[in-house]
Amino acid sequence: MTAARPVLDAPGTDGAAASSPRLIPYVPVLLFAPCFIIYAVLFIWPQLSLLATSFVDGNQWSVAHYQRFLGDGYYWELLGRTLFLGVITTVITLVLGLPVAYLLARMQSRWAGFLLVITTFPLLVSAVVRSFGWMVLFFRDGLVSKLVVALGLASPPFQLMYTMSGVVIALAQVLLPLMVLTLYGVFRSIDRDLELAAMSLGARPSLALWLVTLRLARGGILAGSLLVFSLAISTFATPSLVGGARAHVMSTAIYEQTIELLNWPFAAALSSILLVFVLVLALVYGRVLEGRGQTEARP
Amino acid sequence: MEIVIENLAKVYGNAHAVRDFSVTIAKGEMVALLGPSGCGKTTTLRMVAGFIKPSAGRIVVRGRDLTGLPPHKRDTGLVFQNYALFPHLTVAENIAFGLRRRGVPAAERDTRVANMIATMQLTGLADRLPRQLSGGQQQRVAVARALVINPSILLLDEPFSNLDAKLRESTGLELRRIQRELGLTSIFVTHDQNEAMAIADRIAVMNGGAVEQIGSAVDIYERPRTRFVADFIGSANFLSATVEARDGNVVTLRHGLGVSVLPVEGQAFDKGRSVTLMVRPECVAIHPAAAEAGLGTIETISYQGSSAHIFVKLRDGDRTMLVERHGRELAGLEVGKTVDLNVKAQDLTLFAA
Amino acid sequence: MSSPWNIDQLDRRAFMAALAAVGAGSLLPASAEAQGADFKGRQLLSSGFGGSTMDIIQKAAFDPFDAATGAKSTQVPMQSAAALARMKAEAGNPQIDMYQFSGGQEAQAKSEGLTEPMKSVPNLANVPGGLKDPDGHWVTWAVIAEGIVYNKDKIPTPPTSYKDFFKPEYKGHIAFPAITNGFGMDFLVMLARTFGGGEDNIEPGFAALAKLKNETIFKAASDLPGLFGQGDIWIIPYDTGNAFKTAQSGLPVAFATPQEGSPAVPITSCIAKGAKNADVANGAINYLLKPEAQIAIAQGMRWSASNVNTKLPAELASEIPAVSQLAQLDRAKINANRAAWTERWNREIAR
Ligand SMILES: Nc1ncnc2c1ncn2[C@@H]1O[C@H](COP(=O)(O)OP(=O)(O)OP(=O)(O)O)[C@@H](O)[C@H]1O
Ligand SMILES: [Mg+2]
Repeated sequence: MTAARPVLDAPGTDGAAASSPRLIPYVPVLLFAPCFIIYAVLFIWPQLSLLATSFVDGNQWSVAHYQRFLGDGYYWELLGRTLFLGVITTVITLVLGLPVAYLLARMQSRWAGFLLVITTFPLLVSAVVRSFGWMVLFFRDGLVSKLVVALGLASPPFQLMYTMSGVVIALAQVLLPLMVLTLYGVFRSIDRDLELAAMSLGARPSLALWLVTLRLARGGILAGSLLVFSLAISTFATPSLVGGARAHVMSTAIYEQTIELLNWPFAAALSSILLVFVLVLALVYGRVLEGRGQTEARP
Repeated sequence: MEIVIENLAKVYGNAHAVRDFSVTIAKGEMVALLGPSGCGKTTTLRMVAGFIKPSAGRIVVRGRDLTGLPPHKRDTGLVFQNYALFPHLTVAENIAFGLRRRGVPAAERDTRVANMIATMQLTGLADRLPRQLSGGQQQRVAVARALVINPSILLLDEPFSNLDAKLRESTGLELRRIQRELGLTSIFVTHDQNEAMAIADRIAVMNGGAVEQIGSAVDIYERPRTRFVADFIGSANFLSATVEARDGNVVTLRHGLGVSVLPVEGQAFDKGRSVTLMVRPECVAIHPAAAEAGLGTIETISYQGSSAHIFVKLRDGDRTMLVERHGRELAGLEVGKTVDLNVKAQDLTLFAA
Repeated sequence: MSSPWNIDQLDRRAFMAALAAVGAGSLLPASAEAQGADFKGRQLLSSGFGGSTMDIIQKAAFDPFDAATGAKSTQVPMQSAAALARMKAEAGNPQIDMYQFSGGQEAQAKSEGLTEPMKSVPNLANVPGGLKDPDGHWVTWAVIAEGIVYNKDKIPTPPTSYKDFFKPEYKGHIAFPAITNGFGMDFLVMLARTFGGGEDNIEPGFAALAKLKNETIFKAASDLPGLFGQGDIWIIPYDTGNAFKTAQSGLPVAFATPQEGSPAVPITSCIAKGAKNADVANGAINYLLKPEAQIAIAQGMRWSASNVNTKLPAELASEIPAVSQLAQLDRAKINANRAAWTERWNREIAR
């Protein structure tokens, strides 16, 4: 995910492992083991039982829950709205986060560290609390809603509370620090001189940024986007608190089925469908990264 | 003049990274910026490249004032200390980068890249990525990338510092050959005096942000203008001396090795003044002497093959003199032996303090 | 407080009888409490309603219980629906000994075999039949009255009917809870009743609600201060307790009983099957049923009392509808239709 930097001694490094003691090959396995066990117990196992639950109807195996979902335009709309929320939130955090992360990473001032802490400060406050904060601003009398009206973007009576737009704004704020942090790390790992080299070779600063820095940051940008996207489509607190009943998304529907209606098999089916979308996305993402490796090696 | 740099300065807060840097460089000339770490070499080079905005001064190339221009409009070829090769582009793509930005047609571009690959002995590596190259190969790609655009100035920031000693010398000479062939006006930064002396036409010795002396390697070595330059370039023996007499522009000096008569200019050398003399180790003659007659005793002999460094402790005071001899001319010289030392007046350099 | 109704076992006639009994103010003597119970060093975990509600209940019942028996009672805040889900998830190995429900979950908990009968709760005898499980699996210790919560400044004459929600002058100033909030479901049913339908014919309810679909819809009671605070929400179908709480925060809010009736919401407790501290839970439930506790709860939240021996002070009694005056909804029917109505509500009202 980190952008490649020129490795001066690359051709020699492979040989080093071969000449090392026999113990070495087992070390990676041992290092992976704790993580894998935790992952298996806390993620894979529950996930499999969730999947199993989604195929139960009454006392027998059934695909009824999936049929119900697939055969009903309402649920497609729900899924579509969820994915839309994910995409739009990702785009907003990317557009806002990219310049911030870039400037922070390139900043030489000693304020840079302080500003980074400020940027990530919201992470220390739970998403629920932040969503409550937005609620205050989003009610009809709230600052943000009034501002929207004052700017002529909406006619009164208007409030962002209980709207999809409100959810998008709040969610973008909740997830922005994650995007900034991810991109900050990526930009920090890209040598500033590469951009200067491009400029000295005749590239305008914007072109140098595009051809070199952003190109090298592509993996990290994809990673940050995937992170924000998957959190945006699965997050519950913000859509539930800010969106209320009208911004119904997959997560709130899963909650409704699990908690309010106790229809766990259908909730499991909804969760599995959402998971499939995240997995597909992660796979596509992996392919894109692989594809990048191929273009690099291409003659 | 090809390049004129006038009174260039850079101030960070109240720290002067570069002060009052002026130099004129002729077409095809190669000038080295030499100096200890932190003396402002990189800062100067980056001001010429356009990455750092000067606090004062002008940079004029071929009559065009570049001072306010952004880097991409300066037409400079820059070789970075860490090469800064684009890791996602192949060798050929790296080299073609500048040509693409200049809109060179594809056919011409391919020819020029191919020629450059041949010139820089990178044949067969065109499709490799930088990380698949050795350090020396990467360095050659970096140079090729800067040269191929035919820049009006070639700037190199410690281009050899990541190479091992052997490769450093051969690469340096190779670069020099190509630079001559192409008639490229260049500035290169180094803190290695041997490199600077071997490659550059002229050397600008910098200290604390300021230029101490600009001149050919011979000038700087044989006629250092300041004590700093004398000390920094090569090895130097410093002797304190007193002006015994002054007759017009000729002074008689008494120092640890005897009395010398030198021509001078300026007021600083009136009778009675304390001054400093510098003599290079290879200019000191050394002879075995009788125990009570000699000026000093041999403390250490460091044999280096072609030459040997002999450290002589002078009898008066605890000053040690460095004497360099041919490696085969050590007959009669042993540690502990008493020796006599002589210097010729023409080998002495006189400093006011 | 926002939770669905799941009472499918509740016998409607028994419930009505119970309401009558409470109304008549049965004069049964206070029965002897379990004396000398010693739970020194024992821990009791109960689900709770969170926030100030939980604090008031803690002070009214759990603290005196702890003081008298040496137990240490802790309430874990949880919405009723989430509490039932937790109870289900912990079936067989309950970590929480005792549950409090406001959405009828106790009936479902019992039918799923998640509860065990109460033992030695002397005050159980003072609760009318319809307000407790015939097999002793749960008991109602308070009743909330639903109705109309309104802004006194904007609506000087108190509303009198669910029909008031359709007054053209209130348009744009109405908010109502989502169907997943128990009060939202009751609002739908009460609208159906108002316009000629009811639990058996929900059509008029949906038709009426559809006319309000552009009004503000909220999910949780915690939105109430935000909604009333801004001054342009005037009227909301909600309960006495939240009306009182909102008014206490300084907002000009009052509660009105609609002529169609104030639906009753029983607040119940039950013990998780196999609870390690079932004996302590029994003791605590007895304290929840004590008249002193119920008076304190009525004082703090305007919830009605279920113990026939609870005698509210006169000025308090005038503010709180007696349980006998409350309308009771057919929880079994509502529960049977919950999934279908929720689905329909999501499609027709929330969109
Ligand atoms: N951005 C900056 N802010 C403040 N001071 C700086 C900055 N860049 C350089 N300096 C200071 O300016 C002086 C000259 O730096 P410069 O990098 O030009 O040295 P150099 O001669 O290239 O040294 P080296 O041989 O170590 O590379 C140093 O003292 C350095 O600390
Ligand atoms: Mg430097």
